[in-house]
Amino acid sequence: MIAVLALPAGSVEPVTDRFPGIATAYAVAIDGKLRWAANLDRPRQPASLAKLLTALVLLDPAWKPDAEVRISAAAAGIEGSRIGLKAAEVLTAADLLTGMLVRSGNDACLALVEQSAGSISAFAARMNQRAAALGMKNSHFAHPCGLDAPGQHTTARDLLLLGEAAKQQPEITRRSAMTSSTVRTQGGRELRFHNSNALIGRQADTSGLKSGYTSQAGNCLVAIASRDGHQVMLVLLGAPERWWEAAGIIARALALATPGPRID
Amino acid sequence: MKSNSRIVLCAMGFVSLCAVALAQQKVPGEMWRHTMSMEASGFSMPSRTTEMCAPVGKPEEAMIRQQGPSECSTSNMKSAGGKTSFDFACTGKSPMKGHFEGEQSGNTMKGNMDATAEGMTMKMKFEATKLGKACEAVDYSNYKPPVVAAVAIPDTCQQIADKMDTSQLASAGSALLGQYPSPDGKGVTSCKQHAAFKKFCSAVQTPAGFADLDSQQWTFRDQPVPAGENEQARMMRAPLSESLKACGLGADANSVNALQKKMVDAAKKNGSYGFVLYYAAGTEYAGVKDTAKKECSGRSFTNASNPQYSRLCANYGAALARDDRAGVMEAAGCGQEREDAARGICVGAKSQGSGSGANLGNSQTATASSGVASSSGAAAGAAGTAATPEASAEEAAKAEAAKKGNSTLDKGKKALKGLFGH
Repeated sequence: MIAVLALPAGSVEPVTDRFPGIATAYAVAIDGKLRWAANLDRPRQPASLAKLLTALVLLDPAWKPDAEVRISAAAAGIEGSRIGLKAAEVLTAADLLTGMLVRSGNDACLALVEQSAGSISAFAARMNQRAAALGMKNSHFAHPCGLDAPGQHTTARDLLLLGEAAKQQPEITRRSAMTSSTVRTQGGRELRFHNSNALIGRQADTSGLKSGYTSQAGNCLVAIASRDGHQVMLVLLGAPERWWEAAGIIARALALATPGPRID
Repeated sequence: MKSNSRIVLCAMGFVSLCAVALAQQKVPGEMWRHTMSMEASGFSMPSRTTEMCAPVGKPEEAMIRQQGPSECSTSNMKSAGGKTSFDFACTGKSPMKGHFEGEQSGNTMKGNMDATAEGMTMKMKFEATKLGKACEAVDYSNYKPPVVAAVAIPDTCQQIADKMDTSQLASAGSALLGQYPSPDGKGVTSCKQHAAFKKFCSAVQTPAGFADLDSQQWTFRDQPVPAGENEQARMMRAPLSESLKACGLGADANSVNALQKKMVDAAKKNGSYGFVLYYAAGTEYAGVKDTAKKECSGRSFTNASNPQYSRLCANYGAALARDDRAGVMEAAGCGQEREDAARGICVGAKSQGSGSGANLGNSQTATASSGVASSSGAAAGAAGTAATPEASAEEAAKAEAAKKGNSTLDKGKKALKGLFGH
């Protein structure tokens, strides 16, 4: 994490824009070293990538995975990506976290936020504290689920830091690697959903972390991939061909880390 | 070597350390000092000296019986005129077979033991001198060797074949060149006539096996040839050319190129486009690009085309759509020093010529022309493509950006417009 922060200034190898024009901003770190980037510090709406930080805040020492969470009308009616929760349904916090991270469910996200902090603004304050602790110097969060909000912004550089922190949290990495999941309400209703990160299950080396989209942010992604002990972290913000580009960049970065003839 | 060391250490203990606590009658004894040294293929162990208590007048009894861990049996025991000999066979973690001979003369006794374990032959020498100090020894005079089931000698060649992995094919090839106890108990055997070797040769003739061997040979390309290098070590250092030679596929440049072409054709059929690009970009790049245009264009990432093309589209589709040749080759593993025209490695990426060649750089079996390095590789070198691939890729990206006028997002969108769905 520290290496990623320090390298743009002190790295022996210069950080270059290897993929001009693929995204409004992007960053690629190979084995913790920032290698390729563009508009690294340009402020952007985070979209659902904010949920990685939300998950980190939720998974603090007070986290109780078996806690029962009642879905509010506000959570059930939230806009954007949802897992289909209905008002007054009850699920465990762990299942809601799964819905939030795998399907990027805003309904699951808001339910957890309300349960944890009582309000969006109170939770956002905790997020900003955590972001500051992670060294995310150019970020400010206003909506824990990543809906576009005035004054809310982050950067590709800060999201690399967030990704590095998230990958240390098994409760996040385990869920972000799922191709699909099924959760059950206390009333017995089954909700099945697929991972909104299209790389999972399609790009063999990729195991996470989070995708996102809003009208202001565009197609976004924080991806983590590994091969033969080498790891690639990719951040794409505002990338029209997000999946194709991400898969290609990951293939290229991993090949650079592990050179030699490819079979795939 | 680790495995061999274990065998040797056990064998060292075979006489002096692995004695079984047999429930035998105690009799008066006298102390002997016992020294053993060992030589095995390629290395020797320092001699070890221990003291043992042998029944008075019967030091050979102690020497013989002390060898007897429970999993060892003896046969063909002969003892006459101070000379004793027997055969032995052991099972357990380190199965071995061998022969013991010893001779007593006054206060000294000398002996030799030959043993074979996991294809390695060991020779042990020992010498004992009577110290004379009284002690309490075990009486072996009425000792009856335990009835031991017939020693089952594992089929080592088959074991190697069962564990064969195309990502570690050189290790398997090296192991298959060893000598092992014959499963029928008749001496040692070579794996070259075993079905395991056919399996190895089949694996060599797959894109994955070929690439693995070539990659390892590239890794050791600058390693000097060690004096006295044996066949097994040579297989590890230059596994591609040694494998071809061992499998009767030839070792000259033409043979290698023929096999490489065959592998490229196989790779095209099974969708291993990374292999195709790595080994034959010079002739195949345009075709792969056309295939990508046909199979990837207009499709969403989540609605990939025929599985045969899904990896092509995911790994190389975006770069092929931009005709970013350097990027495509980098993704195919042909980045940095790999794209070394002078050595004939992946030269197609730069030369735009008639293909590339596998690495025959420092192999003893490579011909003087060192494979295709002298053909397309030299041509590429003469063309002045000496910049590093990393720099080359950067320059290509910059040139591409310059050609487009700028590197704005709109231009990026335009570059991919119509080639992919969402």
